[in-house]
Formats: sequence, C-alpha cells, structure tokens
Amino acid sequence: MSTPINIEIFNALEEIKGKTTQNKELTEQEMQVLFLAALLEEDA
Amino acid sequence: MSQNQEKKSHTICIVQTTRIGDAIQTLMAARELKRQHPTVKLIFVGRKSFCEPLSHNFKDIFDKFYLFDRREFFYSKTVKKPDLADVRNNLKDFFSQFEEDEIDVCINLSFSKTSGYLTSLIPCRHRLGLWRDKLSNLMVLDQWSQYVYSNVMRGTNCPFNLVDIYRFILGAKSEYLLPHKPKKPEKNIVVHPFASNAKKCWTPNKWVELIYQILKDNPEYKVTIMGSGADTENADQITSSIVLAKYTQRIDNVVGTTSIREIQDTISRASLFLGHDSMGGHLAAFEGVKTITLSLGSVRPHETTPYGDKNINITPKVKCFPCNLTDKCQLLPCHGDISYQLVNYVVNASLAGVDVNEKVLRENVPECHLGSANIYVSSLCASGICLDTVIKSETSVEDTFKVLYNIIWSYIFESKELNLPFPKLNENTYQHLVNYRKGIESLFELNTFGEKFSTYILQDAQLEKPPIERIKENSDKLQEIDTLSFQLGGIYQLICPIIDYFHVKKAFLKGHSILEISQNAILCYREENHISSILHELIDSTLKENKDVKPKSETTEAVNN
Repeated sequence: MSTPINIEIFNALEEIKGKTTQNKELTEQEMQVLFLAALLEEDA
Repeated sequence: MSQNQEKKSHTICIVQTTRIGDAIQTLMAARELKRQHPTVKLIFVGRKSFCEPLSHNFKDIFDKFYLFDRREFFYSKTVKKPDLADVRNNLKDFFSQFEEDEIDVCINLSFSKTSGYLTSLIPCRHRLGLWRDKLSNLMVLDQWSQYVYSNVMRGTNCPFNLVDIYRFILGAKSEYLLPHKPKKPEKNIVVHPFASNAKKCWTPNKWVELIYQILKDNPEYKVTIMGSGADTENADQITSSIVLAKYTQRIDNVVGTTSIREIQDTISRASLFLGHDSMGGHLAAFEGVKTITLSLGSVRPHETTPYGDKNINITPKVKCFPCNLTDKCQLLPCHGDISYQLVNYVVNASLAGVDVNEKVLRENVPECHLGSANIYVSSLCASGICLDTVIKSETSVEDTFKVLYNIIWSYIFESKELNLPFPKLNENTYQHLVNYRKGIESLFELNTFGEKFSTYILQDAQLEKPPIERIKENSDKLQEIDTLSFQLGGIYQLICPIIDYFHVKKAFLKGHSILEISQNAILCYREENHISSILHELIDSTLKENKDVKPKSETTEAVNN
C-alpha cells in the first residue's frame, strides 16, 4: 500500500532519472532521495 | 582540534550495514588496524539493529560510532505521516554528526545499494569500496574492492577469509595478532544449533543426537545452547527431547534469555564453540575461542570460517554446495552429508587437544562418515588465514584452484610471496588441471587480441584526423572479445575469477579521452595475460609435483563443471 512519502520519493526519482540521462550532476538532496529509495527497496 | 601546522592523525570512517556476523568480522579487521596504527581515528557507521548489541566492543576500537535505524528516518515526532521535507530533516540531523569529524577516507565494506549511497553522502576526502559519484554511477575503484565486487559477490572461488579482505581494504599490514585464548577455559561447550535460514542449519533432531553423544563422551563438560528469541521453539524441541532426559543438569538453555554481551562473556570462558555459520562463531573468534563450524546451504567456508588458528570447518561434499541464497531446495541433500558421528569425533578430539589430521581421522572415523564430508582446518599464513583440507588426497579441483588463486592474488595485490605446499592431486583433479591449461591458453589468446585491437585504437586516436569508423570497428571487436571471454568462462568455470575481475577493472578504466582509456586498456589486457601465465605455470608445477597420480591416458576434452 502506497504512503504519501513513498509517492513523493517515487516522483522525485522520476525527475532524477531525467537528470542522469542528460549527464547532469545531482545535488546532495537528490542523492538523499536515491538513498531513501534504496532503503525503501529493502523493505519491499 | 589544533589550528596550527602540527601533523594530525588521519580519520577513517568504516561503513558496514550488513548483518551482525559481518559487523563482527569488520570489528576484528578494525581492531587489527587500530593495533597497527594506534593514532588513527576510526569511526563506524552501521545499523542499530545489528550493531547496538555489539556496542560494548566498539569502545576500544572506534573513537566514534553512528548507528542508524531506517525506520527512524521515516518517522516524525510532530506529525503522524511525515512528508519528504520531514524525512530530509531527519537525514540532515544524521549527516550533520559527521561535519566536525573531518574524515580522510570513508570505506564501504558492505557492497550493497543502500550502503553505496550512504557512503556517497558522508562528507570525506576520499572513498573506497562501493560508492556512487555525482551522476549516480556505481564506483568501485580500488583493487581489493574490485576483487570483492567481481569474485565475492558472484562466484564461490574466493580463497580469502572476509576478515582478511576487510583488513586489506583498510590497509592493515599482512601480519595479524590473534587474540589470546582463555588460559583456563571452563568445561563448557557453547552450541549454536541455529542459523538465519533453514538451508544453513540441521534439524533439532539431528542436534539432539549430537549433543547426546558429546555429553556422553565428555562427562566433565556441560553444553550451553545459545540463540535468539526466534529460536526458542527449536531450542525447546532439543532440550525437551527424551533422548537428553538424563543430561538435563548439564544442558543450559539460554536461548532468547541473554543479551549478546552476556553470551559473549559466556563464550569467552568456554572451551569450544560449536555451531553453524552464525554470529556466535565470529564472537568466539573475537574472543580467541576455538570453533567447529558446520557449513551448509549457501555458506562459503573459506570466506566465513571464524577467524582463528586451528578452527575447524566441516562441509558437505555434495556438488550443489554451496548453493545461492535464492535457490529453492526442498530435499536439502547437503544436510545428510555431515554425520553427527563425524562431528562428535572432531569435538572429542578438539577437547582432548588431539590434532585433527588425516591419519587420526582415517584411524578413528569410519569411511561411511568420512567419505561424504570435507574437513578444513584454518591456519595463520603470510596472507592471513588459510583454510586447508585435512584429507589431502580428496582435495577437490575447486579447492586446488583456491590454493593457486591465494598465491596469485596475494602476490598481485599485496606483493606477498606465499610459501604454500603444492596441492595434492588425485587422478580426477589431475585430469581437470590438464584440461584447464587449454582454457587458460585460450584466454591468453583472446587477451592478446584485446591488446592488439586496443593498440590499433590508440594509434588511430593519435592521428591528426582519427578514423572514427575504424576506431568504432575495433571497439566492436573488443566487445566481441569480452563476449568470447565470458563464453570461455562458462566452459572453464574456474578461470572465471580472472575473467570477472578484469571485466570489472576494464569497466572502471581511468582516462578522460580515447587515448588515455586505450592506454589503460592495453595495460589491463597485459596484466590479465600476466596473471593467466602465472596460473598456467602454477598448474604446470602442480602437475609435475603430482606426476605419480597421472592418469594412464590423458584426455584433452574441455571440462563441463
């Protein structure tokens, strides 16, 4: 069951994906999102 | 911190987010680094659930430790359902702790996705192990970490104990000082008959048979059964068995009732630790207590044998061992390969101080029990802990290659020349080694082509008008060579350690231009050939030493493992 935080992270991931395909460096906040997504993946 | 020009000690941060057994092995490696370099400042980052119970061990080794709980990141004290901003604040609080540490090197020993991102977020000057760059690309740049990524995370041919690998990545010198064993240990055998999954441990009934025999043969000893709360049911099944009824006074069931600190204290005073691959064995090694481990399922004994001298590891001989964690298995054939009678003999010999060697085993253990299991004994050698087969004449081809790879990688990575005895071969392993020469020769040929095409690319890239089409053609040929190498590894699986390592190394070639990358590619192919030549030479020498077991007719068929 999705929670709001999961959806927020998922949406943020989509933006980050777009950035990495254009070879743009990520900010610290964006790296944090990737870290959080990895943590959520462990739960799954 | 002094503001003037005084030389300050370096600060190393170690990230270890995997399970408690890995945390203990990391502790042992870090303890050794601290012993060799007492002025270095060590910081530990790990998970609360696995590391908090071990925190009493951290104080003498780490100057600081930061433990996190992933649920706490997603929790807010003020709102029921935190949003991303709340979570970010939690992360900010966590990472702000590192600001004053001025970390020189952050080393990730976990090799997982989460730990890779975590390592990238910790402020530091340099990173080792697995981490992510600012484009979120996976980075594994140092050679030992590349070895772990290519050989330990895939394949079962790693000859090194994880404590040694951690030590090498941390930069500890090769020599290791083992902890002192207890001078007058109590007549207590600590038994951990459980593991993290059913594939890795015997059923309670089998343990009942073994514990009964141990107590019967050793009337002065008692047995302490340890485990977590989750093991309580199985522990009760063991202790309530009618078979053990007359020995209840000598069985202490502390499953689920003691803290890790308390059980560590019990282990430290024990004569012996007996169990499956688990944190109990690593705690015993941490305290210098002798261990006997029964490795089943997906356990890799060379990597996970509790780190100490003359520790024993008994494994099944069945072909499917070790399996992968995700493999489903209903029949568990590896469990039947190790008999309780064999284990009982080894326990008795260990308690009596008898050296467990081939002669003693053949004289005292029936072939029906000895023939289905491999018995290994650890010993301290120049590269750390080596695991030697006790029944030399039955050394498998996989274990033979492990000895050769130990020599090769120790020389290549640590410039250490190991003076190990040649593996003893039988007719079967002799034939396998003969066949593998052909595989190595084919790999050498492929790499020679790889060097050639890389040289063409380099030459073309240096021209005033580089011919792009020709460079692309030669790049495609290099890709073909890589594909052929993998196919070769499918046929000759025991040369995969070399193929896989250089595949990873080539993925991280340094260089900002085709010129630089091609130069490094050439060096890479040459190095791969150099290592292949060493392996070929070691095989030749091993075959010469064992010419008495040469089969009457040598075949040259490729081996399908």
